Amino acid sequence: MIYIKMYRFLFVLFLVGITACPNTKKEGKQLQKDINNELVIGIENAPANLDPRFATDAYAIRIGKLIFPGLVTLDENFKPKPLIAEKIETLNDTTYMITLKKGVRFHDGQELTASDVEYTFKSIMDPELKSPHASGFQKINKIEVLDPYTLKITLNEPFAPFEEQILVFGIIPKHVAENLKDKFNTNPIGAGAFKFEKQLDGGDVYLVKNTNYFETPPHIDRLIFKVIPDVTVRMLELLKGSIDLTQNALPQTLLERFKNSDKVNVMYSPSASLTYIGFNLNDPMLKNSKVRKAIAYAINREDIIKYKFEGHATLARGALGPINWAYEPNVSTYEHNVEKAKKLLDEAGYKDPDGDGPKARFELVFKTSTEKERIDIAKIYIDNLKNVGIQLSLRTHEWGVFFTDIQEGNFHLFSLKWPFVAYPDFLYYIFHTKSFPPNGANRGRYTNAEVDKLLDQSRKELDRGKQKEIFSKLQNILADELPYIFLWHEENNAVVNKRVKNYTLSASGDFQSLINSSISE
Amino acid sequence: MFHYILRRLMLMIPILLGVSTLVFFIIHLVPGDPVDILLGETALDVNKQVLRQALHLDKPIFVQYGYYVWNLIHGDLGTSLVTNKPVLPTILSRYPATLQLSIAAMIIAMLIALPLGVLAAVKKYSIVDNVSMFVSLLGVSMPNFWLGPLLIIFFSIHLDWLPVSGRGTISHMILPSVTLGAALASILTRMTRSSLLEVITNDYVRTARAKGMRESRVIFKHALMNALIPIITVLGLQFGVLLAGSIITESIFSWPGIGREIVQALQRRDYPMVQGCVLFISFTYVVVNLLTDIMYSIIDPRIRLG
Repeated sequence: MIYIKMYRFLFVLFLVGITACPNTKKEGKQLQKDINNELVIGIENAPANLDPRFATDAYAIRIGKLIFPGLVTLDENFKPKPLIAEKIETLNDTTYMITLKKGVRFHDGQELTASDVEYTFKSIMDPELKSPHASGFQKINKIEVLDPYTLKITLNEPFAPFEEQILVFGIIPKHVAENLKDKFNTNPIGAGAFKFEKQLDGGDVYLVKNTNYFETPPHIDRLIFKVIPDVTVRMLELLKGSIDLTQNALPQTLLERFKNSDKVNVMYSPSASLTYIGFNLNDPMLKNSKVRKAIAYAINREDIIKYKFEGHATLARGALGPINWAYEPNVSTYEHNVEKAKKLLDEAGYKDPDGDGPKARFELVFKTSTEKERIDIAKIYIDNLKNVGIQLSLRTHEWGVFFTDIQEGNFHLFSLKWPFVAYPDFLYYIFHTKSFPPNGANRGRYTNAEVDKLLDQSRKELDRGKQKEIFSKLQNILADELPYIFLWHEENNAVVNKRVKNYTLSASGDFQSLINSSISE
Repeated sequence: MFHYILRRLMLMIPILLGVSTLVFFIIHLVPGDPVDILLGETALDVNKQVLRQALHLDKPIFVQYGYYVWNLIHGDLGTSLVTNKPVLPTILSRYPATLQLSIAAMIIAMLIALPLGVLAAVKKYSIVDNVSMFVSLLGVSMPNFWLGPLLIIFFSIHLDWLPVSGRGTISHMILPSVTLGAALASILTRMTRSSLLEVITNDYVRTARAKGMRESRVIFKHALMNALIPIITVLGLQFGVLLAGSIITESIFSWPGIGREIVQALQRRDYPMVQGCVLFISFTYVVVNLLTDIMYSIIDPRIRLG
């Protein structure tokens, strides 16, 4: 009889399993009462914290922008343009008068006023809140609310990128955030085109349209950001049609699968990303700019773009891409040239001990993460550098370990990608002497008095034309000195189900165009 | 029996304390500063300092351990460094999903393994036996990260029968539980076969046949019942493997369980979340082992616990 008992036991277990299964079908039906159309977007990982004061991961920031609009937003060339702000007047080098649009309402119906802006900024500046964005707000000296729609912000010193770095932050409602305190991220309320509906245990985020949005309300009733950690499964979900969109969530090699698909379109757009190789400039060999230039000449970026990215990347001439308003195209460039690389190495005093024989001139260690795409490209660097007599040893580390090494300067060379080099002041963050970690991301410890001077100037110069001149000079110096090898600007990519209409892929890679998109059934 | 269970339950305390101690020190040995990962590079030093103090990360590791154990015995697993939400409710909301997947995988494994193993033993060296053994070899050789996508391509894309990923209806559960249970099914099939072959030649089986008992009754009542002890031992031990295996399976199928949470927490150096998740997995493992021992006495009355 024991086997009968056994199967009875299994049956009971099975029933328990089924009962434990949440009846989302029923739940889904209830949710769908007033929902005509919804769009499912596949994302790689769960947004950790949607509160804009804490959002640091890409998805939290991008989804957050749909819930929390800022006073300004960035246009296609990354110049600021008013959004919640009606106008921004510069009274002097350090004082800004901001007038808000009337009738902008939070999702709970309360009007957004200057007090909410003041509260948002002051809470970010409050050390008790521990906002990761506090450093940028240290530039603010005083915030004065003049009336419900006007506020005056005074800075400690001139700070040209004030609008694109500070005023872009999403505004939160004072009356809600004050009450909820650190629970605000579980029930975020903004004034954006979409309202937060819920976040599932697995991290999936549900947003519904805000019919009272102060600009044209969205056409899509609901957006579901579904977390799919596995890259192959994201691709399969698209093929099946159970998700409608992925943005920069699939590598080029997998995008090839969709080329002749009758279900989805693959779209590309220029991006503000920068892939680069960083040098440790404390290393006696890499201190020598001839060695750095030789490495730049040795790497065959043209072929990597052609074969690894199928042409969907642009050769970088500097940190800023061609779509940036401050981009300078007339700088030194480093097209693949093995002979030039060898000559530079000879001049630097690193002669090849046995000509084209197996012995290397010297050995360098190249660090990267365990991401497959990065490892594949690193293998090409190894081969490229071998051709000029440099032995490159590859070390791959799990992200946390890799990142710690990079921050501590524990590397010869490494490769990473900046996903969003939109405002040119970013150069301050990666090349100014004051930006050595932990104060910034000058990880190679690059220092140049002229560069520091120009970067300081760029922050004080409020005239865009003069700013552009300063940034041109800076880009020229950086292209000559090569603290980085500026590799390429990878294009944004999106795979979109054909039922989605009016979707455009923005240069910033955000989800803003979903506000104007619609679904045809 | 009652005293035995009570003693075993009491023994769980030092075991879980040992596990939590090991996990605490191992996770703190891994390079990578959670404050850097949490606040990002752009954060102010002063903010990093405030956060370090708030999380006691500025204190010596043994002091940190003291805080951890003190909170632990008060039922507080801490707050996630990433989401700023308490760890315990997060785990409790994820735990049923992992448990559900593991139990479903175990059931599927048993439903496949028991009949297949019995058939292979009864029809020893026949084509049925060879096919069963080949299938079980295949099952144990296929890694989850390969089998999962393969099943999705076939059943979700080509046949369009089942959803690709996610948790919701019973249909969502089929592919992940088959993926997770495939290896266990193979091990159990082989174990059932060999265990049954061992008892099938015993005198009492011959006696049962001599009495004129039906063959199915001989096998299921006399032989299989006595062959179950090693099978249940393996099943209990393998439940831990299922929990560990769920880390990969949950990531493939976007299953919102503890496995997926632990991967994310490890990448983000979310110490309290990793510690909490491992503690829960260990707790489950210990409980399943206890249940396995209790099952012995139910299946074989000759075994007395205590």
